[in-house]
Amino acid sequence: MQVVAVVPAYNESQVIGAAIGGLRPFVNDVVVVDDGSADRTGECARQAGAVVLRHFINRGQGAAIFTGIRYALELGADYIVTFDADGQHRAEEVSKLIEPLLLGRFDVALGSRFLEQGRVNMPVSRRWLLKLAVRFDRLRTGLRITDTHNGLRAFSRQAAEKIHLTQDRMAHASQILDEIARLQLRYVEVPVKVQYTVYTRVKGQPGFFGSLRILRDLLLSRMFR
Amino acid sequence: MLKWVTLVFVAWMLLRIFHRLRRHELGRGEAGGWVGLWLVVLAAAWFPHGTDVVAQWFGVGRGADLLIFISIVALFALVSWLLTRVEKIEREITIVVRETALRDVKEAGGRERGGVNGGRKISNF
Repeated sequence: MQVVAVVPAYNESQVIGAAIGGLRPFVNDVVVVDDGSADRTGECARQAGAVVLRHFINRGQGAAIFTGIRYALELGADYIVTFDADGQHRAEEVSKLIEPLLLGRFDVALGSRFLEQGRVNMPVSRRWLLKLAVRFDRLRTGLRITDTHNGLRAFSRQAAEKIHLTQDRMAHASQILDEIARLQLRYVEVPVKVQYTVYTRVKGQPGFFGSLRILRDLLLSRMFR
Repeated sequence: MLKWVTLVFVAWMLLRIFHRLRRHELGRGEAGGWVGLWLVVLAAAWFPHGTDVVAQWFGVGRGADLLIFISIVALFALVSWLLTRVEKIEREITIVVRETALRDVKEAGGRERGGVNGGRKISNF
């Protein structure tokens, strides 16, 4: 069984080594997609033992994830995990995401911060934005989800082969849900913890204007498909 | 005064069109379209009340109002065409960047260089 972690990274030289080190016991390979970083992200990732693909210009997290998935499939991955480089995910939870897929009952496992009460430690503004995004994505896709824009996910090989991402930036997370609905993939949410540090708050998920940009990207892609 | 400025401007645009036509940078159909458009602009400047008649056909009071209305519609059409083009070009750039990254890592023998566990074992399942 081949489990490959795909880690999109943009200017993450400070933390990428730790992220890869944490992942090592839980996966066969770590594929880092250096998305046109201006720092030593690629070099640090390679030193930590990852296979590094480099986008020669920055194309966004969605583009990097899809590049990583493509390469993971070429490596012969049976299961593909997406994992953020900024240290907000806990590597030991990779096993929890893979487990439901191993039984063959699900094609996709999505990490959720909101499944268990009292486990969420996030800024209030981000919490409200995410709640709003969840409502919006539920309405659009019809999926019964509790979290969206959580970078920790796992796909079976069959699911990863079918999913096609064209959203290059942050809207890819919503597009993954679109694809799950379109392809009628069997999905499950798995409770995970997200660690908010000063670094992840600065580097991490989009704020209000970032959310507007996601909305714009989604609408544009529907208008001009 | 405005009439003469428009005349000079339109004459200059027509010269440019003929020049591009001679250098085969424009097709005959496209050149004809541009010539027609600039002649309409010239006619509107020289016979402003003539546009009022056309405006009446569309149920608009004044020719100037009709021109503003047409301009807004044309701008919307142009913006949406440009957005479509930009979206398409963005996607094509991403494909080029992606394929280059995949080709480069294959040429460098990606797994031999990195590969956390060399794909051989996994300890936590």
